[in-house]
Amino acid sequence: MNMQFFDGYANKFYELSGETLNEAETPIRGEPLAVLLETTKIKTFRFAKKSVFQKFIKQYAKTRVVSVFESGEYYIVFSEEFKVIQTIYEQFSVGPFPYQVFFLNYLRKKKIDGTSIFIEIAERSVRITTVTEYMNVSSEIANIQSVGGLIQSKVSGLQKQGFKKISFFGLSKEVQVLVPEAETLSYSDLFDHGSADIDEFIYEEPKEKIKEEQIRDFKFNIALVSTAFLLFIFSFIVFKTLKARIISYNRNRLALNALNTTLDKKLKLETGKRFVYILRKQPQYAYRLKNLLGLFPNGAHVKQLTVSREGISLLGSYEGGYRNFVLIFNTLETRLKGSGYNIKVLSTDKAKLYFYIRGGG
Amino acid sequence: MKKLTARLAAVLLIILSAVFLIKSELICKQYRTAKHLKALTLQRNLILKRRIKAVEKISIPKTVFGYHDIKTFLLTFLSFSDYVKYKGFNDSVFIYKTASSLKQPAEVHAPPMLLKVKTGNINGIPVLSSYINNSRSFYGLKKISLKFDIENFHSANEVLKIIGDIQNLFPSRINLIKMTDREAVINFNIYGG
Repeated sequence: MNMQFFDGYANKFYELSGETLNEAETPIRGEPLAVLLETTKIKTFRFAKKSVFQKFIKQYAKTRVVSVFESGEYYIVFSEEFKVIQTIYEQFSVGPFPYQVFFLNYLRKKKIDGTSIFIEIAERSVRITTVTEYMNVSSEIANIQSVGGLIQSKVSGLQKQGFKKISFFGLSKEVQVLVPEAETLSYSDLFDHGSADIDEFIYEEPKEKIKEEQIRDFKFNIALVSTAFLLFIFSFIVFKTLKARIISYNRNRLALNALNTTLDKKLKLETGKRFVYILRKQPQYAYRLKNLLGLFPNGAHVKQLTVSREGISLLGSYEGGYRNFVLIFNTLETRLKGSGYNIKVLSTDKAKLYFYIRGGG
Repeated sequence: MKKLTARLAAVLLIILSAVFLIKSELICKQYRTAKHLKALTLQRNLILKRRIKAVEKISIPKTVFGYHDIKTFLLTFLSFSDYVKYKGFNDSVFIYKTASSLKQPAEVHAPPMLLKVKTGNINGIPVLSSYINNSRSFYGLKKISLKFDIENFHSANEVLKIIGDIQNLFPSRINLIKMTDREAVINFNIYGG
């Protein structure tokens, strides 16, 4: 980083601000820096607590944070319009507005000649920034363990190049352990320029926003709980109604079953009654058949009775031999003829007797 | 804390409702079966009531000017089969279906088939089976027979009484009554004789 960069930056800044630089007014070395610092009207806030700082960062990190230095103390640098200039937090990142500007500013204010080395110690790393007599700025980041060697080599290199007056500045007290002759500075010393103030930042959470959030949360919670409650009631009602329906259906079914058995019995009774009613005046064939079967003498059994239009045919069996058969046949013939039947033997077997009866009532 | 309690309550309620919904989903099958059974019993109840009403229509079928009242005949016949059942006999109805109903010349000379028919009912009025419920399906149907077991039935009196009743009920239709010591078969001509 050299002065060309700053010149260029200053030109750009003038272009942005609408003003034009005359050739006569072109700033000499180191001059644009002062102009830049005076015109941007930087405001610096100091944070007493880390927690407050972190809260602030959380809230403004995306929109308004500006410049943060950390080494035990926390600073935020705002531009006048609250626009982001630079964010430096632990990693010493370099934004569009290089914060080495402040070192140059310090050197210019105090009128310190020669080469100067600024040493910053963060939690893990160390940053060494060298500003030569010709305002050449270069910075390196190194581990804490290898700082001593690095500084020695740097000093020897500078001495070889011809820079003899070298002064050390530490931005925390721990630097004096590394380099005993180093002056200790605080960041507030760096920001001590005409238009910059260092104020204690009192962090206050905006009440309205909190209220709005609370209201929003409250509404959301109410909606959530009410919908859950409605869902619960709905499911409960569904379950209960289903159960009640099942019970009622089963009860109904049992009652209907009981009724059905009675109806079944009634149907049986009614059909029986109906048939008795229809057949009450009809001639009783059953008696005739019974009488016919009753005419069979002992030793003969009816095996099959067939009633057709032509008449009645019977198949019977008999016990004993042929003599017995003749006896049975004779008695049966006389009995049937007495009752008005005609008898006709169709065939005889050893134990069977086929005959055909016709007529009779 | 308020936020947390409210959200916890909401989550609990949602879990409870999910549990209830799952329970009701499980119950749903029971509900359907209960509904179905109830509908069935109700239907049976209605059918029984109608059948009781239809009992009054049972009468001896008559032939007037050659017109055979098949409906009354079937009603009486099937009711009588039920009546036989009520008396304790194990009976069943058969039909003789001739091949002429099939209308296929190849099968014209085939012997008539003997089919066991289930008795059902339509609106309480007993019918043979679902496929013989109109006069059209009687085409080619000539004989119908009632057959009941008397193997375990020792009173011959009852059997003879039933045969006598059948002779009285369908005097013009009876084709043959055949009774052995095991079973009794009664054949009817559907179209009179």
